[in-house]
Amino acid sequence: MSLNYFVLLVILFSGLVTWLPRITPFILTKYKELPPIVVRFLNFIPIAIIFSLIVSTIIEPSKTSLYHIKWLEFLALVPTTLVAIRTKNILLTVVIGIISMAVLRLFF
Amino acid sequence: MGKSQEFKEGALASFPTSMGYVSIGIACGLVGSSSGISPLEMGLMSLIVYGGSSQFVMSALIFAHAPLFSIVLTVFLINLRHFLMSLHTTTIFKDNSLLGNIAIGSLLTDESYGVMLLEQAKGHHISPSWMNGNNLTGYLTWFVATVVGSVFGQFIPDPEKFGFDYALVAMFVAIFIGQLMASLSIQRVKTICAVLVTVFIAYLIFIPFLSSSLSVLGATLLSCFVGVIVDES
Repeated sequence: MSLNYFVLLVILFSGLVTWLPRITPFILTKYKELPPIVVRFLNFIPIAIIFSLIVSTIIEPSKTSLYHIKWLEFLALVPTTLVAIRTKNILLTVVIGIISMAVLRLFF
Repeated sequence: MGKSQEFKEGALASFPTSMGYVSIGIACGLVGSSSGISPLEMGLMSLIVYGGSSQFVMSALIFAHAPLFSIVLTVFLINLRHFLMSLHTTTIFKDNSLLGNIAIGSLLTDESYGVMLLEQAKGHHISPSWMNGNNLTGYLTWFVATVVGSVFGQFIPDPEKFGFDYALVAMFVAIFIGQLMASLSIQRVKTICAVLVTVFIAYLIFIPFLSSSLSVLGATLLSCFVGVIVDES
C-alpha cells in the first residue's frame, strides 16, 4: 500500500474545496433567514438541476465538433421515461433503464 | 417512527443510488489504479473528497503530472453545484442542529439529494435520521466500490457492458418525473416550461466552452433566474 505525499496533498486540498460548498449554506442560514426572493429562486433548483444533470449525460463536450451526443444513452431514455411516467416506481425505472442500455449496447 | 427506523428507511430509499455507485465506483477504482493511484489513496479519496466525477478527473490529472493548484481548482469547479443543492436542502432541515446539518451537508451528493427530492415529492416528512441513512449508505457503498475496483478491477467484467452505469441516469429520470409532477401542481405550466427550455438552451450554449459540470451549474443558475422572472410576469 503506497501513499504518495503529492497525492495526499491533492486529496486533502480537494477534500477541503469540496466540503466547503457542501456545508457553508447550512452555516450561512443558521442565524439568518433567507430573503423570500432567494427562497423563490431556490424553488426552481430541484427541477433545473435534475434536468441539467440528465442533459449532461446525453450531450458531452467534444474536441472535434460542438457537441458529442451519446445516441444510445439518448435512445434508452425513451423506455426509461415511459416506465417512470407510467409506474412512478424508481426501482423499476432503474431496472428497465439498465436492461434497455444493455440491450442497445448488445446490438450497436 | 423511531430514529433508527427512519435511518433504516432512508438507507433503503437509497438502494437505486447504491446500484449505480457500485458500477461507477468499480470503474472509478479501475481508472485510478491504471493511473497509478494505489487502493489506499483511492480509499482516502473516496472518504475525503467523495465525488464521482472529481475522482475520475483527479486520477487523470495526477497521472498527467498537473500542478496541485490546477487539480484543486478543477475539483472545486466540478463540485460547486453542491452549494446550490445544500442551499435548497437548508430549507428542509431548518429545525435541525448546526452540527447535524453539517453532517448532512458533508455527505450530500447529486444522488442523495435526488432521492430526498423524490421522498419529498411523495409528500413525506423528511427527518435528519432518514437523510443520514440515505447519505451514509451512498458514502459507504461508494467507498467499498472504489476500493474493490482499485484492487480487483482488472478481474471484474466491465459493468458498462451490462448497462449498470445507466442506473444513475435512470434514477435521475424517475426523480425528474416526480419533480415535474410536484412542480406542475404548485407552479404554472408556462413557468416550468421556461425553466426547462432555458436549461437546455443554456447548456447547449455553454458546453462548447465550459466543462460539463460548469455547464450544468451555469444552466441551473440561469434557468432559476428565468423561473423567478416568468413567475412574476
